[in-house]
Amino acid sequence: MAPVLYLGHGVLAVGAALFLVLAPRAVRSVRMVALVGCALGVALVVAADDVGTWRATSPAPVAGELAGAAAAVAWGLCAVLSTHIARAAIATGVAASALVLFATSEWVVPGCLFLGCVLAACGALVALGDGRALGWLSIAASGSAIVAAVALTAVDQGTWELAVPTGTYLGLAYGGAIAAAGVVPLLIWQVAGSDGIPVVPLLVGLGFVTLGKLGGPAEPWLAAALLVLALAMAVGAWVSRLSIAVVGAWSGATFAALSFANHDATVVAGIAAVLAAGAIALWPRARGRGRMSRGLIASYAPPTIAFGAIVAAEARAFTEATTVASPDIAWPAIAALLPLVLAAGVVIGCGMARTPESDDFEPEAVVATWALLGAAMVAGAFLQSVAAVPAVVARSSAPLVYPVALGAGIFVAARVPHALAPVVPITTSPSDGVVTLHRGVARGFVAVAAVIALGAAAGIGWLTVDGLAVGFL
Amino acid sequence: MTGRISVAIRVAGVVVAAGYLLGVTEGPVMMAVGALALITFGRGLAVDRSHEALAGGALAVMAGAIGVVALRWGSFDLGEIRGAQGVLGPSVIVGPDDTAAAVVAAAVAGVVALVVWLAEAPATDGGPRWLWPAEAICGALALVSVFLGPALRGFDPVDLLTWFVAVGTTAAAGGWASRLVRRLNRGLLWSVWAVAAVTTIAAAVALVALG
Repeated sequence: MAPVLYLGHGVLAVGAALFLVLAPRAVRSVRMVALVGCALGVALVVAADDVGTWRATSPAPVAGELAGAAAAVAWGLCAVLSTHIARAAIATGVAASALVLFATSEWVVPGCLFLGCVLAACGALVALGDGRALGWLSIAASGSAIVAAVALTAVDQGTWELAVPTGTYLGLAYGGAIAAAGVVPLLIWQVAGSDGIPVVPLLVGLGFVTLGKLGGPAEPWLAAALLVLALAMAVGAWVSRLSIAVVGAWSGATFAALSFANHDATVVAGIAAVLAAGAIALWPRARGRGRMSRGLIASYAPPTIAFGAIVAAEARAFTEATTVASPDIAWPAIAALLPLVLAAGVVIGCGMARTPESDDFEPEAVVATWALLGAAMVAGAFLQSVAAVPAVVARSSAPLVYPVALGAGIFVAARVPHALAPVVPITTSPSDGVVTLHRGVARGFVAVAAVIALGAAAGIGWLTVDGLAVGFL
Repeated sequence: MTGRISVAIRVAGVVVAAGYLLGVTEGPVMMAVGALALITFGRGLAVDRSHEALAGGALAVMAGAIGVVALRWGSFDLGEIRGAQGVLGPSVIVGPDDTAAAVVAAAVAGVVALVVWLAEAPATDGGPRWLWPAEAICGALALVSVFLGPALRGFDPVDLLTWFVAVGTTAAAGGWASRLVRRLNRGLLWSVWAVAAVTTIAAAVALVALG
């Protein structure tokens, strides 16, 4: 099963390449290819625990599930495109396969090579749309930090195994993961709405795969700092009338914080982050429709998986704050900040759901947004089946109560006279948050990204040659 | 359409909250907060952004107040908090005195937040007439469950009567106060919320300091 789940995305990329060459206008056929890729990603999420060892890979329940989720959402976003869809499918397939292989890789040389492939394919995706300069800078900066952490750890520890970094190298890995998760407003979110949108869930997924694979135990101070940053972003999003870039960064900061607060919740937080990233990336393409689904995903309200991630982090923070003799002061701070984050999510989500927008939507993007909400709710309601979460959450009988609540809600709402249901008109409209850079500045960013990428490529090349020299490969 | 969805989400939130708070479904105390968040989200679709922001703030204070009780009993599980109160007595009176005082302060802040939360609801013609009172009962039930004792601990008539009176009184008083509070200007309402928020934080800090 492993070869199909790992390499299937690459095979689909070859299929998309054939369509590009032989039938460049076969948009529907490529769309079908993308939907098959989406199903492959979902299959990996479900089966990540059971995939056996295969060549240089070993089962990686956390990283595998996250990579599968990122691949599924990226393929789903690819299916939405109408222009450049074949090119996007090729890059998505390569990036998805490479991400899955990096997530399950056991050795440092193939791991770095796969990581390099992910970054190159993500760069190709960004090239298809707008926001290239900052998009490339985002990929280069985050990717090279992760490559450097992995490679330097191997050199430092004198091992060819893909080991967990420590000290400075761990900080480097965390920095790369945080940047990839979309915490910086002006970077990857500039790509939102363009033909390069599959890059958004892939890069966010890479960030969480890194946290799941290379992250150590909980980092309460980092989690608390990211939660404060997330709350600042929430205020910024509210003040900026829901700038897409700021909303995206707020989401990235929140989920990264949840992962740092409870490493066991990385799967839940990562899946929630990838789904939210997909919905936010689709936003400019679904303007005027799917507001409710976007808002619910962003609200962190139950039964979405984001709420499960918050509960898991709160449970860990609470346990640390109450059961340890002299707890780190960061734990009570996290426990106190999380209800604020939940409330901020409700306010931002409401704003997204309620704000009228111009009706320049693409039907495929609207359908995809609703599909993302469905995935978030199913994953949230059946949390314990997709992730290892604390017993206090897993024991919850939420799957039983939510269908009943949904049925009751629909039953009552269907009997409300339409005239009695008020809708408050809001005269503001969300901003794209897209920054138009001066040409010289954009070129400067591209040059910086190129230098960083070349450095990362040189590092990967050197490690590979070194590996070949000692007969590792 | 948005109005109907607003009603549907509010009703779903009420059902989820009732399920957890009446002990029909079990889980962490955060689940009850999540249900209140769902109600707040549903309401937010039918009010303007300043009302929604204050409702979100009030939700955070209620969650904080409930968290103070969880901190006091050292348990994140609603069933365990009920169990501890069933054996030792309501959270607000079980000593030591300093601890009880901190819990009482959190309870007062929680009730004030409930009043603000109810005041920020959409106009009552926005859905079924029973919805707003049902939300008030859910909010009151959440606070009474963690501060005043176990909900439906058994079929002891005195317990049941006490429980009904406590929930009913809190809901009715909160609803009545929220009608009065609506007449205040926004700045004053935000000030009331800020006092409740600071009180909750102070209670939590005091409990952490008291160990």
